[in-house]
Amino acid sequence: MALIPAGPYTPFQRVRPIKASAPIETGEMAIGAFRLDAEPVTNAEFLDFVARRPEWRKSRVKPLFADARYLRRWPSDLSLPDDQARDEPVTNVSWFAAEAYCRARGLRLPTTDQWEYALADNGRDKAGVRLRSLAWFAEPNPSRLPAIGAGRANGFGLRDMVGLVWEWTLDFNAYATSAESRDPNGKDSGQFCGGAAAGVSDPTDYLAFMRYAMRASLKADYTADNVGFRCAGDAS
Amino acid sequence: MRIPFIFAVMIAALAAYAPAPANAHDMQQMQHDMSMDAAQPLPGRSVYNLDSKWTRQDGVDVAIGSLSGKPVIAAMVYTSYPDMCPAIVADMMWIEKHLPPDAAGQVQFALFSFDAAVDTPSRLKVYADEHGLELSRWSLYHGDEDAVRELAAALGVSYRPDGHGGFDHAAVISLLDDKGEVVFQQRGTEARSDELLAKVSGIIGAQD
Repeated sequence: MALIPAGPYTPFQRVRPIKASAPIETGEMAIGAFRLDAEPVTNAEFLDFVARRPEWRKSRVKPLFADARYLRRWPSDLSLPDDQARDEPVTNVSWFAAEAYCRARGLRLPTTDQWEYALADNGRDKAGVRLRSLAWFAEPNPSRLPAIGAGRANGFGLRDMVGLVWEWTLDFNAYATSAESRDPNGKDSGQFCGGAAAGVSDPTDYLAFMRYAMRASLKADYTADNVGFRCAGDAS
Repeated sequence: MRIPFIFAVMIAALAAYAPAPANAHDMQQMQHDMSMDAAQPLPGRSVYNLDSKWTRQDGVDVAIGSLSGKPVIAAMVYTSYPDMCPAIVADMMWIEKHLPPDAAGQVQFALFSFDAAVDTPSRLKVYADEHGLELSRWSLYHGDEDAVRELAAALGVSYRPDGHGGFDHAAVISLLDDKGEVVFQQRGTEARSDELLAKVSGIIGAQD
């Protein structure tokens, strides 16, 4: 795992407090140091997990915790399509399954703020991340995913933050209300209880819109061909 | 209201044609079969498959599955919010008030707090008393952050701490059947929860 040092972080989405008189929060927040898997979790690693935890095998997983596409590329409970798949990132895993895997290692999924902070990499190589993201978005999903670890590591020592799979975060559903479209006079004003979104910190950041929209489209039992995860833990 | 009526006709027909138990042994067997039903594993989609632990307003630690056996109208809230969240509880109280008389005792109302830090069981008890929630029908639950996160994920309730001790969250009222499967969800608060009320009456009619 890579040690991610503490530092300042400006969340992408701003929140307008429910009291209209209170100021919109724009400021930086502090992210504490934490550890993050240097690469996404692989099929081989997830296979070890389901071997030890039968309730997460595809034949046994409860539909509350994962939809019908769970591990759909695996031919059976405890086998992978071929050896090459061992080093490919595991996908078709639900939030519940990803979180159970991380907990079995004494870890958690990273929060959205932790993940975004890790991607931001203290501002290093912003242009490179942007180019790789745009190239990735422009491609259709490949029929099979490349192995992890092929890309260059960022300044924190993390690989594959963009360009391989989308990744679950612990609080993926924190922004799942399309809150930026909230209109106080609109029909859906009763759908959400609390502060409204008040725009974003950088409206030109198309890539951040994409990432937040992707997470907002998920539900905890969803499994998709291009959604994987990595785990996070305390710094010590 | 068509479905309950059809069920009622079917049940009446079954009652008319099924042979009555011939003796006490048959009756015991019937009761045995019924208790076996109750011990069957939960449906795979049941929210009661969550193993998260909660503490009720009376201080008793319970699994969420302790609610099984009756339909439940459930929502996630927190009690320190001044303005809008009470609309969720108000909607639930409206439903309680408008249930058909024969259904009133068959439905449970459950509130799960987002606020692991502030909404202690004793605070939830005070909230229930202040709002006149009848504790034979209502129960309020305190859980840790993990329990809250899991339940919110299972019910599809988005939320986040607002940084000032509160929570921004989706307003969702879920109707669970007696085994904990989500039958219907009302998203957003309404002055009259007619659709949810009809669904409650529907599953109670189906059980009779």
